[in-house]
Amino acid sequence: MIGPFRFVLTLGPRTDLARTPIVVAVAILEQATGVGLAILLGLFSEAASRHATSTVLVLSLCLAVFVMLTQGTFIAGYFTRLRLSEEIQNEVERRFIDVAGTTPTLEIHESPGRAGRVAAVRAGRADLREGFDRVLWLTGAVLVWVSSALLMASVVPILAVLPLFAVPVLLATRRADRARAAAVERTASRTRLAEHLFTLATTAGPGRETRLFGLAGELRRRHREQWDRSGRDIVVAELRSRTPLALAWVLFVLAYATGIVLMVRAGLTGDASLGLIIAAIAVSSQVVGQAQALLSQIFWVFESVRAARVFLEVVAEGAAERAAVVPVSPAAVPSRLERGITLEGLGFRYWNRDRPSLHGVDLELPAGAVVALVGENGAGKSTLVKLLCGLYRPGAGRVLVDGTDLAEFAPERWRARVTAAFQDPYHLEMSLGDSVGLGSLEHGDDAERILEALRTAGGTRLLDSLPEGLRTRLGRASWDGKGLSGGQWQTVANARAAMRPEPLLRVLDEPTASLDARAEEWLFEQYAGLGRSRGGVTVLVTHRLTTAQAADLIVVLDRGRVAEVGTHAALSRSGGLYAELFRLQARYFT
Amino acid sequence: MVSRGVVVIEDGRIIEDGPHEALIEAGGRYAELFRLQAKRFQEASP
Repeated sequence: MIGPFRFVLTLGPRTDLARTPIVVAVAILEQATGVGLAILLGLFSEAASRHATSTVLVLSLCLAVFVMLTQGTFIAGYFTRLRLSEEIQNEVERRFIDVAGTTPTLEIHESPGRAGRVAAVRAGRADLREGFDRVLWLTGAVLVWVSSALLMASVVPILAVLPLFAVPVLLATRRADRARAAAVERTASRTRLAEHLFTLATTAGPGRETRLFGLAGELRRRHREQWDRSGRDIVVAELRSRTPLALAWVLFVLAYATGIVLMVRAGLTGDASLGLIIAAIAVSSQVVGQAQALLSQIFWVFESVRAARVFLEVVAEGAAERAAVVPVSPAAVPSRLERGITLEGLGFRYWNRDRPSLHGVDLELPAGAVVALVGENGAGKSTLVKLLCGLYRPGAGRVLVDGTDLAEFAPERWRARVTAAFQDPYHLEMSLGDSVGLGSLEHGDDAERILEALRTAGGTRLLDSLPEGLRTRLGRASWDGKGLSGGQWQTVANARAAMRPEPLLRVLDEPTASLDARAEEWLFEQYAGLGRSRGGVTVLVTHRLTTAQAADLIVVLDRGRVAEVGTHAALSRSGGLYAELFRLQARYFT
Repeated sequence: MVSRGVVVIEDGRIIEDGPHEALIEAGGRYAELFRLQAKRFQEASP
């Protein structure tokens, strides 16, 4: 509990030391209004009963100053609070980029438990943002609560124990809150699904299909179904904790009613001064409101602390993964490959699957070679590529780079020497220059190099068609940029992959799938010469066997295993899976 | 206009239209694109 609570508490000063005291003052002063007015009311009554006119005048002045101070601080401090919250959110988001964006492997996004926690942090950013403010308001509420109790205790001493009657309420609330949190976590998969359905129905990307197939109603129905079911689970958890909460609340109300009776009696018997009793009664009238403020603040602080706990869990998991994956004294990544990349008994199983996606893969990828990976959908091609890039940890076996286990390299050092254009590349909506240049951060500003990369990827025509050249903004999802076709985005991704000079591993995952015949032919001529003489391996994943046939080596994967390895000529003669697939594709052309 | 087989669009306009064989014979854009793809298969066929 201390960890996440301290995290929330230190968010303010860590983010902005100057604004923090103002926000603290606002939180305390604003809530002090009620108690302060009650005390002033008591003093007024005291002075009035003594007909002390000058004291009443002074008190009036004090009242005016007090109200100005409390309300004025609140109004003046409002924007400071808002600004600090925004700064905290920005700081938290940057810290989360540091955590979620830098884990060595993709497990954080793909293993169901971790992906769920990452989603929870993304969804809980508002709770983290408000956390610091909520803790301060809770502190203010506690101070008000204690000073009210002291005031009442000064009339009837036994009333000092009154706050204790709030303890069962707090405990019951906390229990109810935990039960609810557990229910929310149990329904997390449904909530994520509902979130996905919402995105499908309301965003631009899937907009074509949702309209074409008339899916809005169906998505809406499923969205409702998911929410209804998870909502039911949460309601059940809430109902269960309602009885103890109600009992605790009744106990608390009875205690306070007794307290007021005691104070009134003290007034009637003359045990306390008139002003004190009026102040105490005035305060007691606020007691229910104070208790509610206290409870709601506690609830909100719990929400923030819970968000912080998940955040810290994600941080800890990231650190644990790093410790497991990153070697203490990493081996040096060679500057060029002499022999090549060897796969030994390589296997991998996805977290939520029963069967491995790759099993017992033994392969030699010679330095300088272009290796084509072919196979039907789901054969394990993309999984193999991600293992080569170090984005997954092998479940079995190893990847050897010139004889050194890939696991002995620092992951970022290895990846600095890898380049890739993935199938369905993510659209980096930036300027064309940035979208290509990010392929090599250290050369990201080198216009000549970017143009060269575009030429290599056959992007000259694309460049010529854009009015502002490299400065053209790409994409319509995040800004009002130039919308590109699927093939054009693929060309951009291919150019990005061409930015890194002399990579040890170049992955082209279906680089021609969206390209027209002419662009494909151009790219084909280009990469036919790439890789061979440069001490690196080019891995080409493709369904188009004309693309594969020029490779030095063709690897046919079938259901997670290597079915065939050889050159186009050899595999065509052998009459196996490759020959059959090639015949299927060629029959329309020959 | 009634389409008969393949319609070739370039720069937002229909430039060729007809059955596969006719377009190949005409030797226009369609024939060029088809040849590009077929070449690889013909070269590679054992």
